[in-house]
Amino acid sequence: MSNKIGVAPIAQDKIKITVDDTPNGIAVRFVGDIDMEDPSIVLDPLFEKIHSSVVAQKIPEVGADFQNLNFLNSSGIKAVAKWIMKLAMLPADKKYSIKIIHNKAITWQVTSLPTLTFLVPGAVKIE
Amino acid sequence: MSLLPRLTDRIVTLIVCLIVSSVVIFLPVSEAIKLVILLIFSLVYGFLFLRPEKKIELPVEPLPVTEEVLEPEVTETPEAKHFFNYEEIEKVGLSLKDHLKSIRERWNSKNHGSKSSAVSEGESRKLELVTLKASSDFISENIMRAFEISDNLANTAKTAFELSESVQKGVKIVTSALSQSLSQTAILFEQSKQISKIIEIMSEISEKIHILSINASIVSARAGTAGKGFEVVAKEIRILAKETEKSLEEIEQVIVDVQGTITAVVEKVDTASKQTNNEQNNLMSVAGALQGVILAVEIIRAVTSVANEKAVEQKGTMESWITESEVSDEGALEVLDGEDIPEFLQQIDQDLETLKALVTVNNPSKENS
Repeated sequence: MSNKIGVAPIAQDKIKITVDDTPNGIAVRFVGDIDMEDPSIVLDPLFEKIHSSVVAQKIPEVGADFQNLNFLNSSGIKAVAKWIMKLAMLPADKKYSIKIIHNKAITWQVTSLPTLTFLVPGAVKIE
Repeated sequence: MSLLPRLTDRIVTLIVCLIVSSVVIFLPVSEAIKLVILLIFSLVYGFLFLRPEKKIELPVEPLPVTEEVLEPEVTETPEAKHFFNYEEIEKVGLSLKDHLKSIRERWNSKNHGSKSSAVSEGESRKLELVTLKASSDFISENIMRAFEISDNLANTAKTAFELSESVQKGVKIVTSALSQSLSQTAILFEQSKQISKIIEIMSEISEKIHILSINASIVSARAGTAGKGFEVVAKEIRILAKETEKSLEEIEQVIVDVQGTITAVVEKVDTASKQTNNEQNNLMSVAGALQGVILAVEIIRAVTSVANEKAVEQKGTMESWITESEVSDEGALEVLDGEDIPEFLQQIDQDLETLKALVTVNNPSKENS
């Protein structure tokens, strides 16, 4: 557990998720495919833990690195959207920023991930 | 009242006045004192004997209680005029009437006017809430519609994604087949090259046979008559060698043509293979884009779902506000209705007291008691 919020790495099915510390906060890295029938079983508790810990520790920035994620199904993106909407519900003084890092060579990422920035304008950025 | 007693009273009064005047005239006092005495006498006499009768005669038979009968008696009788001060009573009555009218107006105003204004105020609030609720319903319906549209869009994108995946698989099979054809034509080309080499060897053999047949002819010619038969065989072999060479040349030409065709096919298959590879990549991009659309729609669905939940919640709040507003309006009206009534009742009470005092003052029986 080499991160400030104490989240252990996840390796399930074809996906590996790790949380690392960054100078501005933490980064959640996704590697592989999220194509299981119900990824919310894995993703919901992870995002809940990240959200509550980040708010509690007043961490300013969370990176979501999808560069090595080859496939993400609709249930997976729903879990991501749900996490970002939790950020939208927070009062202004408790809001943190989410930086989505995507792979421009993967079409689905280019098409879908920028939509996430509209959920909380200003707080969610993509690069 | 009869005429006779009234006449007797007047005669008696006249006699008394004459007697008293005669007595006073002859008194040994100054004229001024005589005048004062006469004046005092007149006042005392007048007070004692000329007052109106204390008891008003009632009619023997009760009159029918109608305005026509009562009014002339009350207004025209001086005693009655004295007993009731109608002007004052009328003023008080009018005042009372005015107050009652005012109360009635206020009451009506509360129950109909102010009440209606309060009601209209409440109605206005209710109308605003109903309008807000209608707007909320409209938003909710539109959110639901957006949700349904996004749902439909997601399904369409999903179908398109599945279709593109199917096409992608087909293109993959075609690419694979083309790739196999390419490798097979390459093998065919190699095999044609081997055939060419064999033909080349056969051509060389044929040439050697031809040379051998020439040598055989020379040897047979040296042998003379004994070698004539051998000469015939050598000649036939030479002809056969020539024909073989000719056939081999033709085969070689065909093989060259076949190789040319194979090369052309290889080039075309190669081009097709490259094209299908590109198409496969494009199809992958299409599938990726469609997957992106599915995910983007899923994000919209997640947002509209939350918005819809909020709208439903808002709708419930609006309905409770409308109910609360109705209840509070009724309460407000109840307070408004009773607000000024005690003040008006007090005024009426004062008016009645005044009336009572007037009646008491003007009522001789009360005065005596």
